Amino acid sequence: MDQLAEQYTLLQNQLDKFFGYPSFRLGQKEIIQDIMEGKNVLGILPTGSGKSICYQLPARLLEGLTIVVSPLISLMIDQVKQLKAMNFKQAVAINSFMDYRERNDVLRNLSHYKLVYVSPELLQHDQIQQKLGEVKVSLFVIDEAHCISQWGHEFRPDYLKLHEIIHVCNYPAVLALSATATPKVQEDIIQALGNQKMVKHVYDMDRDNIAFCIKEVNDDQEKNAKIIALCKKYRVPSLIYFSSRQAAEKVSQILIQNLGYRIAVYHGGMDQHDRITIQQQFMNNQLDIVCCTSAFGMGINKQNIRLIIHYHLTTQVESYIQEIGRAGRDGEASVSFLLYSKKDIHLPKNIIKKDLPTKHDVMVIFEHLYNLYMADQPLPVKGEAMNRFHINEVQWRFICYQLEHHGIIKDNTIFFKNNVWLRARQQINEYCQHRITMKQAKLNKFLTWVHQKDCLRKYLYHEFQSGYKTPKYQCCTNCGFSWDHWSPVQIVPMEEMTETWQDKLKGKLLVGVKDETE
Amino acid sequence: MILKGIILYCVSQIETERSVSAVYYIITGKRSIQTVQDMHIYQLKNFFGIDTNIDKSDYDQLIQACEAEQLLIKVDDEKQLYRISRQGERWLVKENDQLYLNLFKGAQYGANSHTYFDRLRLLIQTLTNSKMGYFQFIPVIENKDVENWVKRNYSAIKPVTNQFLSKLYEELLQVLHRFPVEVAEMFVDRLTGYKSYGKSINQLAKQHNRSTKTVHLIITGFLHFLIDIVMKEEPFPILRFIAKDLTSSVYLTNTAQITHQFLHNGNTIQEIANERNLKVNTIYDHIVEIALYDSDFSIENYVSKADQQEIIEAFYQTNSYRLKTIKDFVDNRISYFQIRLVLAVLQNEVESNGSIS
Repeated sequence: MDQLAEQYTLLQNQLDKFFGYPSFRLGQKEIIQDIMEGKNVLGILPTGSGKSICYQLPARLLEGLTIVVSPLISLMIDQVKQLKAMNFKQAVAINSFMDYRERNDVLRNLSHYKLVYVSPELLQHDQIQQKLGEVKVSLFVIDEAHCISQWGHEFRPDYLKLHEIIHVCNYPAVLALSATATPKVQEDIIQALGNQKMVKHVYDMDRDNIAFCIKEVNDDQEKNAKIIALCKKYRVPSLIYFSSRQAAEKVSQILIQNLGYRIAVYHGGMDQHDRITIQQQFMNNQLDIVCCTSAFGMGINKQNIRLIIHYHLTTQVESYIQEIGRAGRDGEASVSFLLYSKKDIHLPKNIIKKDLPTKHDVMVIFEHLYNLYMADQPLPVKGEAMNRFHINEVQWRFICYQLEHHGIIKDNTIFFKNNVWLRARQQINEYCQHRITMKQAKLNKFLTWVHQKDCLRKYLYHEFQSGYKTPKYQCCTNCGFSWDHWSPVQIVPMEEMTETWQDKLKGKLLVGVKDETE
Repeated sequence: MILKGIILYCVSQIETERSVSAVYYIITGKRSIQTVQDMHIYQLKNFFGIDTNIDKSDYDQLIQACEAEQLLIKVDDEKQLYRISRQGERWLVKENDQLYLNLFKGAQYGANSHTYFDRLRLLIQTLTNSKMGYFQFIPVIENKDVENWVKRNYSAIKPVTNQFLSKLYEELLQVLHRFPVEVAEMFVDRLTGYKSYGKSINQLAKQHNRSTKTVHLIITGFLHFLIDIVMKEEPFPILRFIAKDLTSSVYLTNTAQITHQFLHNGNTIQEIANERNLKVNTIYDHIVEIALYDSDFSIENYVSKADQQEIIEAFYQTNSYRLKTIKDFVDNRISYFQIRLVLAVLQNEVESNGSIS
């Protein structure tokens, strides 16, 4: 056996031992091998391909610490829970929800951990940087790396400072991961990380077992009717994506009344415990349909989701690809069903605006900061600022980044220089305008795709890759998709509603069930 | 809805002797001497601290809603005094079967009942999953103390998992029959087993057409009543074992406990006040609190037998717990402190003997 094959077998054994997977999935092996050799890697792997294994396995095997930067706090917390459930106890998520004492405990014992998730905001803290400088970091992972590029679909200004952190960590191997990054975004990532040499592992993201169906309707009522009719015909594990929490709640009620299925809502406004509950119920086939916002699905690994419905348009192709990518991970025939009406177009437009402060917001903020400066007061804290300026968290984070960038604030102290402030204000406004124009262009691209007369599959992926696989089942609306040709395995619900509590209790406590271990 | 019922009931108990805020403090379990005394005097111990998370503004809104529905009548705007209306009384009677007010035992089990539930839920989840050889489950409870409790007991239970689960099933079956079906269903649906995740409060609310607040209160009341049964009756060894070292709660505030210790060592009130750098009135408050809880505590050092008798007479004559009313009725030399002490002792007697008169 040659050396490479031997190493591969070894890795595979460890994958099985630590995570219980018998074999690697597409791309994992190649990426992990490069990491173990200390190379920098850029990995573009489609949603649901098990990106996290690419650093979780090395984290277990490498000496020293693996740092994972992730913008999604709830995803971090979920992953740490899952890792702990798999007996990987040296994993932890440092985030702003942690109380001060708890965070200090973790930082004091940092070298006892193997895998540390941290949000990009927290990485800016001096205390954390100092700690990182004191321990041995072997691997630095940037999850959702497209956030580093303003051409990416979710630009996060804090990501631009990551090269400084890599420097603080004394240049460990770097792994940048994303599910959706065009070649342009890939170049941005490499450049923003300091132009180091990176081995690229880019995999096609098209899914040959998902069919694309698009339907224009007149209004929401018609959407509801269509969904009800469809779900009556197909009782299959389904996700319905909405652009707002309220809509998800409202439509879920309508569906419950009309279908009587097991339906739940999931969105970012629910507490952590409820979110996990809904996820787990869906995983365990206790739910048929989840009405959700984009907060659902990241990190969830359910194999048999058959139907993904979009009740609203997304703001860009990338989000759409990610969301439909949750269907049919087991390779069975699955459908993405997008519904839209002409009235819907203002929704994504509003969402785009909500990410950035308006000209008026910027003016009010500058005036108030000036007053604070004159009164020798510090920068207001997040909650206070959000209230005072009537802006959301994303907008406030953006403002803080910009103010820092222009040297107007440092560590909550305000510094004033007339010409600097004037220039900064102008540049911030220009920049916001530029971002909005760009996002608008992305939305237009998505809209163009929705109205495409040619093959939907061909044009969905054409910006990301050169070709696409021949569909395994049906292709798309424009290639003659028909519901009649789709016959997925249906859910046969247990008679949950009619079961008495006595029976349920007996079932929950496994009374009369034989042990698996016997 | 249940909260509304509780508020109406509490207001009907205190009548117009206290503002509606007094009820708020009882429900949210404020550990002040005034509140502790109120719940004793007006026999509202069962509702003490049953929901520590209500906002005062939400509470005020609820009071206003009750007023708008003419269930409560405002008697004095400035002092925020309300009384229950005829309609309110009828509402309480009509909805009685859905309010489950008799389940609550807040002062007794309030502080620890949810820890009890957390232990029970995590234990069931752990045992059923380990029985099936599945160790990658995501725990429903994220509380270190509860986790440690399960860990401590797991190794002893593991070899007898099957017997333990069937015995637990029998105990729960037996005890759950004493509850309304809705309550038993909510409890069972909330449990998490092997590959069967319990329902969220939100889901239970939708399923039973209740508000989330009401579901939360039903579960709280359920736990109080359950713990009460298993602590008092014999055939529930497992359910009692789960409550072990949870039920021995002392309701004295910390600061009153310290005063108690000083008194025990023979210090006078003035000495304690000096030593602890507190006002004499504060020490009086502590002594009243002690008298409320400790039926062996003798108040004779503070009120003579004769004065005690006079205060008791006044209480029966005026038929009021209102200190000012009693104060006006008795001789001038008797202080508020003395009246409060006597009322506290009276309260203690009432509780051990049943009712007043």
